[in-house]
Amino acid sequence: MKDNALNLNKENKQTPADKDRTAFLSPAVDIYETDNALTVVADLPGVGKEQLELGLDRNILTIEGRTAREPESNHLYREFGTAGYYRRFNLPDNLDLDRTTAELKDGVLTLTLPKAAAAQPRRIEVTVH
Amino acid sequence: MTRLDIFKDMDGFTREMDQIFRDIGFGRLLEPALAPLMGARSYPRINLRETDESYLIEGQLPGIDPNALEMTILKGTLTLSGERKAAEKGNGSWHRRERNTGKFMRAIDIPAEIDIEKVRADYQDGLLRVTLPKAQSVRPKRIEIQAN
Repeated sequence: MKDNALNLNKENKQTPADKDRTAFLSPAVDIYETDNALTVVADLPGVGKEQLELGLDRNILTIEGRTAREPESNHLYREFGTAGYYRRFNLPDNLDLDRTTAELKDGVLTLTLPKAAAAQPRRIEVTVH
Repeated sequence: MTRLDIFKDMDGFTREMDQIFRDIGFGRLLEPALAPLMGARSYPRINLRETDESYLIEGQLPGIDPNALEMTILKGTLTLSGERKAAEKGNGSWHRRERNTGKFMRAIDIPAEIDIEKVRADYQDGLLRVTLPKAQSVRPKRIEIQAN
């Protein structure tokens, strides 16, 4: 394993208040890290900008998306429901959360979480005398 | 002897004809724990609904360029194919990789005759919606009863 200082493997357990969200789906995510930022990409098909709620509370990132309700009639074949999406992540400390950017396009959410300046690798010039 | 095919709609669960999903991006399918219930290996996931006038197909296709999506209808089978490109991550490292990438194809059997000329499809928020209007011959028709 590479020297990833970031710990993303711990996802928050659900609190009692989250009970009504048990029907929600956990969206598939990609998370990758570069020298400058951590990028979270989540699949949220059917979620528009108005139905998406992103939360950053201390180091907890919450992604919540509701899908538009539609008349539930006469399904002949059904592989997905209209439940919303919900997922939380514990973020590492070394991010500059104020500079977080989010983009939602074609049902895909891309969150860019820049690293704090102190956490970025720094190149040190060596002066030869 | 003619036989009325009243029970035609009862085989609803055998409609799915064919499903091919190749995950060339990472060489594995969705982790079983992440693949909810049925249809885990089918991509994209679809819902098929029926109204008096039409059949409605909804497919979950997040992050796909609608212009790169290929849809054909032949003899009552709708075929949907395309490719989801892997994200460009530069020289970073992965922490999680759950989103499927690669080529997909799916064939969906349409239960009754449709008016091919009037099929409409639109793509919004990662959802593909296809409306397949039924042919006049299979729509319910009210018959007036003459009282003598």
